[in-house]
Amino acid sequence: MKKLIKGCKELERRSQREMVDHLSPFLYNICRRYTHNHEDAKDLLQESLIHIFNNMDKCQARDKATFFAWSKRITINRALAQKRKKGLEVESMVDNTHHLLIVPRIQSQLNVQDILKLLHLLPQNQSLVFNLSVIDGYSHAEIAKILEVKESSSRTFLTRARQSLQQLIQKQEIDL
Amino acid sequence: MENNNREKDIKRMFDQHQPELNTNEIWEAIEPKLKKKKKRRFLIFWFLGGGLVLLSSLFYYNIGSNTSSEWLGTKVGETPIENQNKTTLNKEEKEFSIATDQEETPSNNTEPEEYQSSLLASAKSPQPSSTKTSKNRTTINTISEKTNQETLPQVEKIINSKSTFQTTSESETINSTIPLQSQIELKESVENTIVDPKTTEKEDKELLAKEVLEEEVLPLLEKEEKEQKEEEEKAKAKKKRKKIKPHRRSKWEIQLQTALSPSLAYKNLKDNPDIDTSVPAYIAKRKESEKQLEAFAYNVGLHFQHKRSGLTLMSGIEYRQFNERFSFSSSEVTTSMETGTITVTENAAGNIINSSTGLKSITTTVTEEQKLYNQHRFISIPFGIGRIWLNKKNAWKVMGGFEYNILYSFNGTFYTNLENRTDFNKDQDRAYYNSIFKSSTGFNLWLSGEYSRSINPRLSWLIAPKLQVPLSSTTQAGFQVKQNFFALQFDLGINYLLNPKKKTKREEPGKRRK
Repeated sequence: MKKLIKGCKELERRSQREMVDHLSPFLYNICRRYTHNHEDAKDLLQESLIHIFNNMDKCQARDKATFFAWSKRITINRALAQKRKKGLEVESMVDNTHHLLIVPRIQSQLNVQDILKLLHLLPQNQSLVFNLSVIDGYSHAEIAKILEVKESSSRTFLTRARQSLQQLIQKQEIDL
Repeated sequence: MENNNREKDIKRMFDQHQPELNTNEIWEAIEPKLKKKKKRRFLIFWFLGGGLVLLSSLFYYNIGSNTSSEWLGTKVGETPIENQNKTTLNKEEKEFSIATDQEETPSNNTEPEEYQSSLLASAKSPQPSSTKTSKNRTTINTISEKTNQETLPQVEKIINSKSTFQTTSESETINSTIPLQSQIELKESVENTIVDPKTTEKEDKELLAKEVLEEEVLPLLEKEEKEQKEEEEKAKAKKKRKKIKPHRRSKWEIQLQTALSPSLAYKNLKDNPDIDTSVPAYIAKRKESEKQLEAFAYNVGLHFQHKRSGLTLMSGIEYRQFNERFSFSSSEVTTSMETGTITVTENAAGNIINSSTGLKSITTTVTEEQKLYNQHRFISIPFGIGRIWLNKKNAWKVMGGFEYNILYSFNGTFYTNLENRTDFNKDQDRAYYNSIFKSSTGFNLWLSGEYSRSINPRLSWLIAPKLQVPLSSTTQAGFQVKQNFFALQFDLGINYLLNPKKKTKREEPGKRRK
C-alpha cells in the first residue's frame, strides 16, 4: 500500500489504477450514504477520486489507515459541498411512511439497502448528522463545524434522527 | 443501550458491505481528468520562451510595416516636392491633409493647385510649432487609400444622415489626436495644413467624410492601441503577481550553520611502512619535543533537512588549526685558561700565609632551552549525511561523512632527524618543505552528534561534539614517519533557517465558511 500511495503521489497511472480498485468500494459506501441513488453515488465517487488523486501532494498519509481516513474525509467534504450547492434544507419530518412497506419488520433482518432507505426517509439534516456521528464517527463539535450549525443543534438532530428511525421501524411493525 | 448496539450493528454493516462496482468503468471516467506526470517541463518552457520571442519580434516587425503603409501622409515631408505634387494631385481625393484655421487662413481666392502646393511647401519646410489656438482648427489626417476606398460608402451614408452639417467654414471644431507610433511624423502632417477658401458643397461632403472617417477610424485605432497597452500592462501585472506569489512550502529545510569549535587534538606519529628502516628513537624524540596545545576550528555549512523523513545532508567549508609547542634544549661546554690563584696556605687562625698564582682551566657549560610554537592548518570541505529528530523547541541530529582536505600547511620547527631541527617557514626552503609535507591531505572521516535549541523561528543555537579520524598522512610518502591528527571538536554555533515556514492566516473562530 505504501508503494501504491507513493506511486499515486508521483502521478503514476498504474498505481492510481490499482488504488481505484482498493479505494472504490470503501468510498462508494460513504457516497451511497450521502446520496439518494446509485448514479449520484457513482458520480460523487468519481468526483472524489479525481479530487483525491489530483491533491495527493497534500496528503501526508503513509499507511493504508491514514490514507483511507484522508480519502474518507475528502469524500465526505465533497458530498457536503454538493449538498450545499443544492442547498441544505431543514426539512420537517414529512410523512414518508408509505415507503415503509419496503422496510423489513425486524431490525435484525435489516440489510444495508434497507438502512439506506430508512436513512433517506429522514430529513436531510437528521440523516447527515446520523451519518456523520454514528457511522463516520465525527464528534458533535466537528459536525457543528462542518454543517455550520451549533453543537447543541447537532445533538438535537441526532436525537431526532434516532427517534425518527425508531418511529419508522415501530410504525412498520404496527402496520404489519 | 439497545440503541447503541443497533447503531454499532449499522456501522459494522456499512464497514463490511462490499458493493458490486465496475472499477474499470470508474477508472475510464476519471482517468482523463487526472493530472499528468510533468515531463520535460524545462523543454516546454524553452519552447514557450522561444515562441514568445518569435511572436514579439513578429509583432514589432508588423507594427513597423503598418506605420509605413497606412499613413502615407507621413511620407509627404520626406519626398521631393515634384514627386509630392504628383502624388498629391493623383490622390487628390484619396489622400490629403487638410486643415482650416481661421488665423492662418489664406485669402479665399487661392486656387486649389496653389493650395496643394502650399501644403507641400509647408510640409517640406516644417513650421515652428504653432502657438496659435487650435480651437477652430479642423484637421483631417491622411488616410490610407485602401481604408478610404473601403470605408467611403459607409461614410457617405453617415453624411447623409447628418443633417446638422453646414460648411467647414463655420469653424466646426474637431480635435483629433493620432496616437500612433509615428507620432512625430504625424505631427508634421498635422502642422502641414491647407486652407480651403472655396469649399463647395461636394468638397464639404468629402471633408465631412474625412472627418467622419477620422471620427470612426481613428478612435478604432486608438482603441486598438489602448487594448494593446492594457494587455501589456496586464502582462506586467501578472509578472509582478507571479513574483509576489507565496513561496511554495518546501519539504526541505535549509539551514546555514556556523560554529566555532574548541578542539582536542592528538598527533599520531608512526613508522612509515613504505620505508624499511624503523626509527623509534626519532619518533621518541619527536614526541618528547612536541606537545599538542590548543586547537580550534571554524566552520560554515549548509544543512538540508527533509522534514518528513528527517534525512539530513550537509556540506560547507571548515578551517582547522592545531597549535603545538616545540621545545628543545642545547648545552654548550667551553673551556678556557685563565690566570688565577692556584694554591692557598692558611694558618691555624685561618689567615692566608702563602698563595701561588698561575694559569688554570675553566669549563663553562651553557644549557639553552627554547620553546617554539608550531601551527598545523587545514582547510577542508566536509560532506555529511545523517538524521535529525525535530521536536517542538529542539532537535537532535546524528551525522557522519567524509571531508576532503584541500589545503594543509605547517609553520614551525621540528626535528627532521635525531640531531637536527629545521625551521619551516613558508619563505624558507620551500622545496625541502614540499619534500616532507603534503599540500593537501585528502579524505578524512568524521562523525558528530548535535543538539540544537531554537531561539526564534529562524535561529537556533547548537552544540555538537565531533570526532575526526584521518585517513591519510600529512607527510609525504618518502618521509621516514607518518604523521596525522585525530581531533575531538566541540562545535558551538548557530543555525539560521533560510526557508522558514510561512505563517498562514487562520480563520477567525467566529467566522463561518460560506
